[in-house]
Amino acid sequence: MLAGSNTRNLAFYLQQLGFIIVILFLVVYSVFPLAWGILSSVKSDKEELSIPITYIPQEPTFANYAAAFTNNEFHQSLLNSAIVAGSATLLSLVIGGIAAYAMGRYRFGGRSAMRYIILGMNLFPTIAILPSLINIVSGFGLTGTLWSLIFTYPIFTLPSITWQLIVFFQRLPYEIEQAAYVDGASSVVLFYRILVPISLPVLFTTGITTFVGVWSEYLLAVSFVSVPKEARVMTVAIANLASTISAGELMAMSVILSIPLLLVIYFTQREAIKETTEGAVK
Amino acid sequence: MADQPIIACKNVTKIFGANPQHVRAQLERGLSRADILAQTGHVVAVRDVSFSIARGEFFVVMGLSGSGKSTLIRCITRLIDPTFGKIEINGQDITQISAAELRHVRRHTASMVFQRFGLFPHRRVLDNVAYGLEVQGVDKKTRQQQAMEIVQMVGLGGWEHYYPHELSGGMQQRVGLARALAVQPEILLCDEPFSALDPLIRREMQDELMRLQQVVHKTVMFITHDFLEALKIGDRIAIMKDGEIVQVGTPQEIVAHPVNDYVREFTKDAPRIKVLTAKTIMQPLEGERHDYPTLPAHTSLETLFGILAGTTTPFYLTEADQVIGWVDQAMLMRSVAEWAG
Repeated sequence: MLAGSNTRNLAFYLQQLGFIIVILFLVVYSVFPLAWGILSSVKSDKEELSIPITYIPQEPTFANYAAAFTNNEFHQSLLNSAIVAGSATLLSLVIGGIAAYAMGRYRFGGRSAMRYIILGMNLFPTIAILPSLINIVSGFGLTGTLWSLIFTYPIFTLPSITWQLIVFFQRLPYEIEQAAYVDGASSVVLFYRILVPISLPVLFTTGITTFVGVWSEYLLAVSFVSVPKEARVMTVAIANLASTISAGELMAMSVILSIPLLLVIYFTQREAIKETTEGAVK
Repeated sequence: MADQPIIACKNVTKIFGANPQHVRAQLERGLSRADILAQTGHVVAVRDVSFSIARGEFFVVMGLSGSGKSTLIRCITRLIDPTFGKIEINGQDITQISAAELRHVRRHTASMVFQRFGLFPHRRVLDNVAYGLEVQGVDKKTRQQQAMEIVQMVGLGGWEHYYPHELSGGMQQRVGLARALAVQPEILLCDEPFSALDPLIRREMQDELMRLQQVVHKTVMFITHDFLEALKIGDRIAIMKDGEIVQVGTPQEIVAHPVNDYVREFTKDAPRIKVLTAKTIMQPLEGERHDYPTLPAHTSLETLFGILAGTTTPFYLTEADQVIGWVDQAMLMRSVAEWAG
């Protein structure tokens, strides 16, 4: 009896150990690049290039951050990225929200065909339409301006935003709208007092994921805003700066521009959990 | 105008489909619902329904799913526009009025309680209840005060600052009820308000609604698929099948005299001794009058059992101070034996 349970315990602990090893491997594998970046960003130039390499900085320094913060090109590119990501996200949310409301709430001819075309767009690789996009953007004379990105990003963000919002609006009970109407609301009141506030959490979460995607996009950015320098967004700027500044400073820049993303992930997780547990109405 | 019905539906028909007006011919030829669907692809949800509801009446529309009852109640406030027919509220045909007039009727005359509650998830209980007043343009202080009174009345005092999802189903529906009552409507429309609730809570809410009705005296139009619920709470019941009203009557009339097998099937499970009255089993007066004691004709059989259990003396039944018939123990026994057989 006793022996039996001991055997079982041994097998159990071995299983646990194996499990922990797998998890540890996954954590190290996925976190190492980020950790390496953060650690390198606080090393001096000398230590950065020293052999043998050091994992833990011997003399931590924030000189790289100071340099990054005083680099004008980096400033400009951060601002550009914020403008582009913010505008493209807002534009996608407004257009996607309205489209999704129509397609989630109303029946009309061609509705489901339209929905599947939108879903299909989601699966389209960016590179496939890049040449024609370059033509169009230069035809409008937008190459080298932030407009080129603000107008092209929604092509890629709209399908998934719209699809997610369609699902949200479809699940929203009709009774909520009927309850609003039956007490005498006009459609304007319904929109501002009921629909917009109810949709805020889902607009927030989809908006955030869109923002993150656009924030770190490189292919379109490098195609449209490589020149002039002033129009570069940070992904393009950093790639270009790589040859002119120290590795430590580059790492510091990378860490700085990941901070918004980390904040975003922290907040969306909470929001996403809240959203799934609350639902609109059971 | 006191006896003008508060709601009057005249030949109301609702057809869903691409071109509802064109189905009129098929309707007039008397084609069945299934045939019309097969031939034209249109669904006849409500078909030639006429009824009227008196002020203060508790009117129940009972039907199984797909019988058109939910569509019908939505026609009353034009959440769904009827295809044909007239709907009068206080004598005004609401199918003909402008959007602004319709909003006025909705704000001041009728409100609605929904099966899945239809609460606004982003608003606290108090703000849900105050919503109708907010739409009317009542100032914040007044509407919160009024909403608070109603919240207390439905037994939710202390819960006013919670969000709907923090409440149980029964409590959520109390919020739904409070929101509907807050605008002090003449008409309360209830679309299967208790169907989503557990049986015990359902019974509790039925009692609560009947208690509230004693206080607020609204005209209630109540939709249900539960025949026993209809018997319990309705002054009159309309039974719907395939979009049409099959029978309208008081619970007693329907249980005692179902018009067809469809209705009879429902009445099988009815608690007859609670629903039926002495009048439904009495014998008419014949021959000379005796010195028997009297009872009101609307005495329920349940009560009658208690009275007749200890005596074989017959009783006269009175209605409007007139003796209209008589009952005795043997008669009551024979009726029960007939239902059982």
